[in-house]
Amino acid sequence: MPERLLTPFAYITVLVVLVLLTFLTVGLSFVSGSPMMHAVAGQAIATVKASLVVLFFMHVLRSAAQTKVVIAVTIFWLVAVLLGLTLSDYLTRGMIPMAPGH
Amino acid sequence: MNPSTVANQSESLAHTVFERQRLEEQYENLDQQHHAASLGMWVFLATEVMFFGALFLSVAVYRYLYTEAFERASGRLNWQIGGLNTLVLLVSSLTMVLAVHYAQLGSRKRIILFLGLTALLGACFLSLKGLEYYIDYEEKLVPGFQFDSNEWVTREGLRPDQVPHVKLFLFLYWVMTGIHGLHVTIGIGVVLVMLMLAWKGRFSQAYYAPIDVTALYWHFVDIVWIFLLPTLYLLGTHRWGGE
Repeated sequence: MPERLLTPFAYITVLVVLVLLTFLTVGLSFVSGSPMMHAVAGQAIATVKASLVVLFFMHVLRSAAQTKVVIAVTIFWLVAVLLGLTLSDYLTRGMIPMAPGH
Repeated sequence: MNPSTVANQSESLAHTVFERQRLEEQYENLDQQHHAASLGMWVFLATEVMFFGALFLSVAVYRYLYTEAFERASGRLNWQIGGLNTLVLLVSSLTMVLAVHYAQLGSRKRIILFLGLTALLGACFLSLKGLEYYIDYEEKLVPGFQFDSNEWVTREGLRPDQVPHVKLFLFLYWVMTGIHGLHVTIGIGVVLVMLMLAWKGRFSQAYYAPIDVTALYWHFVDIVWIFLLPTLYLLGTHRWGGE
């Protein structure tokens, strides 16, 4: 399927960006900051890196609509349902004064 | 017979005899077959995302509840090897995508070269991981097997009731990196099978779906590690030159 072709140069460029982001995320772990700052920064950079891999290396940028639907649904179940609903419980328990169980 | 059926038939007739042998009877042509295989792999990867997602969620929740113990335990992991292994897997993703690229162009020699490099980098990752596991063992970071509870109180300054939290982090570390390592091992096996098939000349410009689908799996395993690095190794407790 020739319409999917990217050049090797494009792939190498993506790799260079991925390597630079790896150095950035390791570097940031040496900066002092709150645990929440480190968690958010680390996961945000990882999300950018994963997106680059998905879009360019896994060719999702040019893949069929059905594939994009599967990915969108996967992200919805992971982020909104599994992570979102669970963390909205655990991360907000401390906000209720005098509540039992913490 | 409607015009689209005629068009589909003439398209499948455009395939060479070799390619028609690769076409399963339920598909109109190799493009459709390729698309079905790729979609199937994506659905499988969706189940893998749920599987690893639950483990990442566990780390997130317990890191929030037991922040101090998790940071101390994470600080003892070997971020140098963890970081180096990230680079190894990223480069292996490049060699994998280049194998697909040259499959699209029908260059058998380059498919073999880049699949070989991918498997080699995968083996490199596992070797470094093995070295890291050995260092973890020497550092007594294996709860239930090689672990010193007192050390975490005297040297790391944790309260005795926080030691179970350290063990919890280390359990998650071993399970998540272990399962990821298993995925890398399976990936190397599949890549080597593809290499063998390419060697036998089983692929062509129109038929390379097995390599493409293998690549999707390989990239997914790379993505899991991309998230494992900040989740396990980089909790913000490293200091230059320190423990």
